[in-house]
Amino acid sequence: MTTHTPLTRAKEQIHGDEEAGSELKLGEFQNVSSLTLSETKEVLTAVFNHRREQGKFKVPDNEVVTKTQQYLEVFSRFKQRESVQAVERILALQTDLVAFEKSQLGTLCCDSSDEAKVLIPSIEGKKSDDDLQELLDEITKLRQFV
Amino acid sequence: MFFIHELNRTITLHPSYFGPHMRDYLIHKLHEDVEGSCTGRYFIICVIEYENITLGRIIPGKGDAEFTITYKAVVWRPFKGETVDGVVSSVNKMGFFAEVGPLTVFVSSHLIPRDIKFDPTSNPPQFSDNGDQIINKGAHIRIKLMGTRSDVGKMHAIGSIKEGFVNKWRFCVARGALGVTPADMVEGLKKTPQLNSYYLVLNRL
Repeated sequence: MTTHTPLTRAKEQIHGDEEAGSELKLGEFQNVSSLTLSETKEVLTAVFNHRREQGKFKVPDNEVVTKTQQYLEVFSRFKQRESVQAVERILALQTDLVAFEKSQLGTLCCDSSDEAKVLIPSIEGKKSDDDLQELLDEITKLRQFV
Repeated sequence: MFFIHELNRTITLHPSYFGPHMRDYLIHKLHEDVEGSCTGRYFIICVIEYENITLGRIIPGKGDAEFTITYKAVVWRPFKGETVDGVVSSVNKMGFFAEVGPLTVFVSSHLIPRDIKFDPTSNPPQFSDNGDQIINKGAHIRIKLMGTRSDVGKMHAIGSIKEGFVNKWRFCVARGALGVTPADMVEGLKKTPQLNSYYLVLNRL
């Protein structure tokens, strides 16, 4: 049987007021899993290598993808797969932070909790300064193992 | 910010494509249409996997079949208020342009701290505070996105490096060409405890 088509339309989403300020209003991305730059680089490398090996589908060859890959190469802080996974494990343990905030921490690699609170305003109030500093120190430790 | 987002796309196939490799052709068409595109709100970088491809529905009156593919893709969506790193691509007296992944962000001179001024005499042109903070082509910079505008197939954004808070570090990573490593940045951090705004403006090492 064919699926029943809905008679009413879903409520129209209002766009335009998304922001990542002291309150995270991410619109359609509110509950979507986010990635740090290093994780994204790993994902893209894995997908493209798989495609090259299989030979069935082409690797995209346009400006957007090339620019993104160059950007990731320059700014991803963790070059080894093991350090990327270790950072992911550390961040996954933080149950008081949202995915967006965790990925920002893994991407920006702040040194002090003050810096983190300024760069990621929505973290303010969610964690104590000491806890945040501890987390940042653990991430910084992994960064030295490049 | 990069996300793994679930998206839908409807593809219509002409009957000449019906055959044993129809599914592969659909996926190939999906990649071609979607990878590297900008919806005006976000950029789709790469398709990761396909959740479901519906059965083809023949459009009445034509022979074409319509398929809806649900897939997961790596998507890049810039948010207002988000802090991002970028590379300066051009400098002029109104401000500078920096590339943040696929997006070009313009930082106007009004949103640059007052002590970093445009230096027209230097070649190539740059912003500097006549000390060790220099913004020229190729410099790495940390920007706070102030706003984004969507166009069909394109996005534009403006950013600021002026947000100033007392007791915050101010650094700027000098030319990427010098191969500044994160360890160097940390060392430079220790040497220049200027407590102004929080951008990365690191000395030329």
